[in-house]
Amino acid sequence: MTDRAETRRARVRTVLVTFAVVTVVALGGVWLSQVTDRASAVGAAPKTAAAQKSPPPEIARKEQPHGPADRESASAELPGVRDCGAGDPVLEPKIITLACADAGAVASDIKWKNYGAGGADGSGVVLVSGGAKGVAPASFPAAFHLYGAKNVDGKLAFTGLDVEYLGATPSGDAAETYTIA
Amino acid sequence: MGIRGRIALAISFVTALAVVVLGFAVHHISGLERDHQARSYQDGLLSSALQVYQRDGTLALGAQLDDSALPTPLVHAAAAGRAGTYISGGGDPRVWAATGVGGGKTLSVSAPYPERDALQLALDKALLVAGVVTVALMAVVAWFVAQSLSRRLRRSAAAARRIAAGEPPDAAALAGGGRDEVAELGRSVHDMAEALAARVETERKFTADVAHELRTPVAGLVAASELLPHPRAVEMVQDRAQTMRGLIEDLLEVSRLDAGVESAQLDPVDLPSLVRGIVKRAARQREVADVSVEVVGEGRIVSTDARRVERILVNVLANAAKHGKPPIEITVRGTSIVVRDHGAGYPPELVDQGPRRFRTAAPERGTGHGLGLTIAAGQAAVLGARLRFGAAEGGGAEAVLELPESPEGGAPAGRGGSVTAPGP
Repeated sequence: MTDRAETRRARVRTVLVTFAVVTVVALGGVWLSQVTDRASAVGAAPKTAAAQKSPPPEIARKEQPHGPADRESASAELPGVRDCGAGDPVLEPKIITLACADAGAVASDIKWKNYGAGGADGSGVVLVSGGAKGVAPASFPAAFHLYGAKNVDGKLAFTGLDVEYLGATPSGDAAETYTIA
Repeated sequence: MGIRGRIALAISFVTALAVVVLGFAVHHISGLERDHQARSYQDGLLSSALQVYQRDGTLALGAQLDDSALPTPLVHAAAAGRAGTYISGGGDPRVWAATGVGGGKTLSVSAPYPERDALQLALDKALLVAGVVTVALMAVVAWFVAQSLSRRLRRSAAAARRIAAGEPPDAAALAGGGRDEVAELGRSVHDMAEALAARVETERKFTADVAHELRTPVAGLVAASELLPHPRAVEMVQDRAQTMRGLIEDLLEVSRLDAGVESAQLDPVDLPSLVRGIVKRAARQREVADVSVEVVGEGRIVSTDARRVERILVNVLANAAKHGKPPIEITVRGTSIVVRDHGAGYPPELVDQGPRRFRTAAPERGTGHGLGLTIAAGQAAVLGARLRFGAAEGGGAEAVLELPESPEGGAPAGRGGSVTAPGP
């Protein structure tokens, strides 16, 4: 009786193990087969989608709940940034073009810690085009410092930008200085 | 293949399977992560390029407007107002990110995306080397683990074989330390051997005691029968009493053989002369008639115990005379003696398993108590000789006694002799 019971238990165990192995192999096969589909499918682009939805900075200022007088007084007090010397100065810009010739380097996702008349400090990443190679790192975390506020074309704007790379650098220099406006 | 090889093979196979599955999984996951990073990076670039485009209307970070090489799925996604990423194959595999910017225009960025990059190739190579090394290492480890297991099993088997050969159970080899299954098996075999030996010893003692106790009254009976007045009654009682005495003597002999206390007295004897003498005495004492002796080749002088050879031959001849049919032919060839009759032959059970006490033959070989051949086999064992029972060519029973060649080789070994004739 004992022998028979043990044989039955062993058989049940064998069936369970076989079932588990087959299930795992089947799931693995399904998982692997989805690779090709995933690679050739259009994937999400969450950052671009977010940038698409967020309005440009000029519009943002217009929509601010302050009155026109407040906004003008604020602009009058604080210098802005004229990207590549064109357009109106923008206060606390999130993006600044560094290489204006081909726009191949852009300071992006800038978050400002201090933004005053004497200067501004913030951090973000510098993106470089061309060197991507698919997965090679081409975004470089950096700290930014705006300085040299001057009156340009009747409006107050910063004229210099220091970039200090916090990790890897695109060209080997740990710090770069750009003349803006 | 031994258990050692099987265990090593099984462990190596399972390890190899695990290594292959893990290798594929790691390769696959690293590929997915690479795709994800490439898409995410292009998404970041496009996001910045889009902000610059929206602000200044310029193309930054290598972004293109309405790129003609943009893959169709992305064109459709952008037309639907969605931003997306895509990995294109073909001759120039690239990773793309694109979004619609209004007015039916599409802003996109892309970068080359080789099918296999150096990092992934290095990872694959590392996985392969690590896998092969792991499997080899596990095979070696498994071999050693299995070897220890196999060695213990072999030791137990050897101890069990020694018990089968007649040695007492070896407690050290069988019931040694350890608490695993092998040790348990060894202990069980030891216990079983002990129990069987005890039972056999009890039975042997019982047989010896019975025979011994019967001997005295039967001797008295034989003596007393001679005093009876009626000649026919005397004859009958004497005959029965002699038979009973023979049986008791046989039982005592079997008991002594079982106990392993018998030892041979070796002397050089001329085998053909010995056989002829035995045949003559058998004809006179046991009424075994019609026996021919043939010597093939030159007669040999062998070192053996003549009394025990006689006991064997007389018992075999008596069996042939009683259960077989004449003529009985004895052939002496070298050191072997072949006894053949022309009866129905030995029963298959006896040929296969050897003679057993009180297990008489099939009806074709008549009745008997089965002790004669048992004693013959036991005496052959004492001599270190082989006694085989089989069928003769052309019908009839054939018993072959092969005496050992040299005195050294034929030294009696008691219970542990190299004798294949089944013991009683």
